[in-house]
Amino acid sequence: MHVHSYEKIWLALGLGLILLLIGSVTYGAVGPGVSMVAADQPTVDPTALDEDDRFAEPRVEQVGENEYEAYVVAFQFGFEPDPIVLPANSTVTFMVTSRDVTHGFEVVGTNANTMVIPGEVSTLTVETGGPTEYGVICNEYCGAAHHGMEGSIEVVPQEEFEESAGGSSDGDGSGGDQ
Amino acid sequence: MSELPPKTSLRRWFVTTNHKDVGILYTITALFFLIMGGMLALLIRFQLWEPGAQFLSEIAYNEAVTTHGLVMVFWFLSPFGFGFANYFVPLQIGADDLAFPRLNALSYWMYALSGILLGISYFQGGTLSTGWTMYAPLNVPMYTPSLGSTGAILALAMFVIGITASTINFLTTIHHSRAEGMGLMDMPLFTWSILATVYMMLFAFAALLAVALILLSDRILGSIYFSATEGGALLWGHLFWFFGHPEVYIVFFPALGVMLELFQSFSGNRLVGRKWVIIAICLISIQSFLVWTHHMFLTTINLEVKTLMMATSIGISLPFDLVVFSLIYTLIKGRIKFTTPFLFAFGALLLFIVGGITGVFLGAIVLDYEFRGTYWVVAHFHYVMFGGATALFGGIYYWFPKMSGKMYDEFLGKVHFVIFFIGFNAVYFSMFLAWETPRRVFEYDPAFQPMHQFGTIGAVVLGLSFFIMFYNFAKSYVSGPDAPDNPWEYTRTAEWAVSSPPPLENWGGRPSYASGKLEFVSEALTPSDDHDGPAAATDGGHGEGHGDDHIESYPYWDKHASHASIWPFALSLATGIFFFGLSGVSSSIDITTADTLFGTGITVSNPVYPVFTALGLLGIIWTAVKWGLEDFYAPPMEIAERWPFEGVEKVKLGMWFFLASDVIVFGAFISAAVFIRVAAGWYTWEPLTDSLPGLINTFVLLTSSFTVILALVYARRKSRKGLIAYLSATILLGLTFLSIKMWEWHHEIYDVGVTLTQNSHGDPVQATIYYVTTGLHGLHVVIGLLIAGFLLVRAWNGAYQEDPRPVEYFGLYWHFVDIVWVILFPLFYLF
Repeated sequence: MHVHSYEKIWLALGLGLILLLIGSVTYGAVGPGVSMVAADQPTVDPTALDEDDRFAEPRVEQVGENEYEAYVVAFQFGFEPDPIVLPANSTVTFMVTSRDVTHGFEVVGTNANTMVIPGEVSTLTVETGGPTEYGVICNEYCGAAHHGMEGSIEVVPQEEFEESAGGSSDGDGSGGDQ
Repeated sequence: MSELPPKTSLRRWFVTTNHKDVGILYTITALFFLIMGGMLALLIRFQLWEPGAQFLSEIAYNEAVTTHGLVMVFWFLSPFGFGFANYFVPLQIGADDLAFPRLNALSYWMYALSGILLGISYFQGGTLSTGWTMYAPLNVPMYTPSLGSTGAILALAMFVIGITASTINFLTTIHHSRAEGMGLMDMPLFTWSILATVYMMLFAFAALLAVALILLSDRILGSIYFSATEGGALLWGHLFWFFGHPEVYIVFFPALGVMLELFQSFSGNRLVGRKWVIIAICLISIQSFLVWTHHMFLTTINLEVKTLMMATSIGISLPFDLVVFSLIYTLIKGRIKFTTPFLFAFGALLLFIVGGITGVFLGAIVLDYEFRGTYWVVAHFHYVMFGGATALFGGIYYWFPKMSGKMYDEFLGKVHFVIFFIGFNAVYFSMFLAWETPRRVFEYDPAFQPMHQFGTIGAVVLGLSFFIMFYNFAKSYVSGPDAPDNPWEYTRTAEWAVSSPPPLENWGGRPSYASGKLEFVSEALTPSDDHDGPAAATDGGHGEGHGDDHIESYPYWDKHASHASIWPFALSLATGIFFFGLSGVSSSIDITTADTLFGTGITVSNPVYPVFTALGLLGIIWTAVKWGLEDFYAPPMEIAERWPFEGVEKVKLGMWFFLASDVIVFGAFISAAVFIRVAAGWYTWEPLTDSLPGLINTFVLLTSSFTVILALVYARRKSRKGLIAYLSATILLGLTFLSIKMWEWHHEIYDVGVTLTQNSHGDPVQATIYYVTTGLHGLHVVIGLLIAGFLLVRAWNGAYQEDPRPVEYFGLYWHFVDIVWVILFPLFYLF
């Protein structure tokens, strides 16, 4: 069989690459144990958000010194809570999930941007600056009224946040009841 | 029916299987879809005239964006490139036609009629409104209930079926029908780019076919893959983008091939670094399958995986850099002639550089957080995809003289280019300037309004510029000067060595590159010559491996080639009717379940769709049988370069390519099963069924693999009885398999309570996966049995004594179906 030398090289390179790829995927899965969905971003049953501590009552909660977690549920066609009230100059971790279809969660004008997939909890951590307001939009088609789907974030001074935080401590209370 | 009517007869265009005719049909149809997609684009631009304008309703806007994307990507870009591929790949490699001319016509008609189905979907209660990415679970009927949504996905599935046939055809042609002396590395670069494209298509479109089938099962049968809470939404993303990223190169590579061809022809220079460009093209093709996750950087995928995919994504720009530099050096070292085709190709390079560089930003995870969901992305991919298509417009000017036999008007062509180029940059560069505009909505910061209005005006200019092209071509075709064989001074490829337009059979003598340049050998083409003719030429000219032994194995080797068949059109029409019926069948039939099979009630509320479905199905079977019986002869090339498949006969090679794509289809189904099971927790699932029926079925199928081999053995021994006996045995074993399967399903549904959407043991999605995956396999068995039945009837009438190869092709398929079962059995019955 007459084979051009370039063709041999081509074949060798192609085969080599394929072997390399299959090898790297196998090594990644078996060796370091890389899984496709991050273990620190747990899943949730989107049909039973009512039974989930975080998402039954979407809210902002203090979890440490100047550290907060915001549990947000995206749905057709809005976000809950709305507005999301955050304290200024603090570290906030958003945990966002969807109760129906895939949505987006983008804080307009920032790079806080994630897809919100039903069944997955998207986590992103931001530093809030001084008091201001942001819009939140959905970046993925989610149905007829996708265009109008929006939310808002209000960053308020710390003391103002604590005054209004009565709601969130109620949330704690009901969480404890369960 | 092998006589081809003249070109002025409408009938010719329905029966033609000639690659040049089909190429023209593709080109014209693709231009029609360009106008359709362009109209939708203008609707979008008018909506953006002011923030939140209500020119279209919200849902209409979503539908316009969705179908604009689908039409441009599937029904315009690829088919436009493949119009040229149809016309010029056989000419460039010295073949008489594509390997399977009827299959080629079938691909075209599937494409054209699927486009009509997409159009119809608008009138079935509104078409798909999910964006062209069709993200789950918005794509399931619960959220997009209109029949038109199902219709649009069926149209896509039909398009993919045609595309798969086309892919197999091109792969077989390029590997089987290259003229003597044309090694793979000697192929013209346009053909090279098409080869790389069809290799990507073979695997990528198979994944799309699988994902479309799963989605259609969700939409029509009511399975619950993509609404599954166990990773169903993420599963769609993976499967879709595994197809979706190679698709970018699939639509770009034909344009790149045109660019490479035109840069050589109009710089009077051989491509600089030719072999490295080819290597780069191969590398890109392979790497394109390893970057899909960069479309999913905003999902919850692990950062390690994302980082790996960031590296591969940015890495893929390296071979592209090589290609771009090679193009630039080719110009620097050449003497450029600024003709219309060159201007378009050169413009395409400039636009692609902008598109490529802006894409590298998106490949970086952190920057993607910033850019995702903005007009940066929109501008980027239009510069890449439409920028690439710019070269295709260069291609149509370049090849118009060859295809039509007339010269176009050079001045009008240049005017078109200037207006096109200005309009293009006005609409898409303004998107970069207003990049903070969110995409997928029509609301934006009023500060960007002047920019968007500028872009809308640019879009109108861009759209109108095409009317100059249409006018130019129409006027030239009617009253333009005749084109010489080679209107360009410096061309290298074989299509310019024949008349404009080329004769039906392409060549006056057998093209050969054995001496290092193109020559036409006369004796080999004369069929009345005795066998020594071609053999002597081979002995004198070239070494080994040109398969002159093949001549004896073709009993009809001295027949004339056929060029006409109505069955490709008829089969496509039947398929279109079947798919149209399917789009509404689930909403017009109500099935009430009961405790037993016989208690099941079926009420038909609207007979239209079920009737279409039934008619279409009967039509498919009837036309397929007529196809099989038709005496259609596509002569294999007796002397050809076939590396690396020298020993493999033509149809067998095609069969292997088909099976390779089917491997990916099943691979996607199996991956989906594994993915969802991993998401649900692998060990929380027990096998739904007893393993005994599955085990018996495994033995039944494996036995049938032996009987089909024995059928072939007896066919080779010219034993009609033996062939009939073992084909019958194979069919009986297949029917036994199906009977056990049906018993098992019946048992599961009525005794155990496991249905498509209910599972008394656990996750309902497990039941869905079990029924749909084994159902797809069962469908393969049913199709296999239909083919076997066809073979049996023909064997009864004495066929396959002289030429047992059809039995062998069927055997390959049947073995494949058996092997798939060997994988499905442990997956569903043991673990």
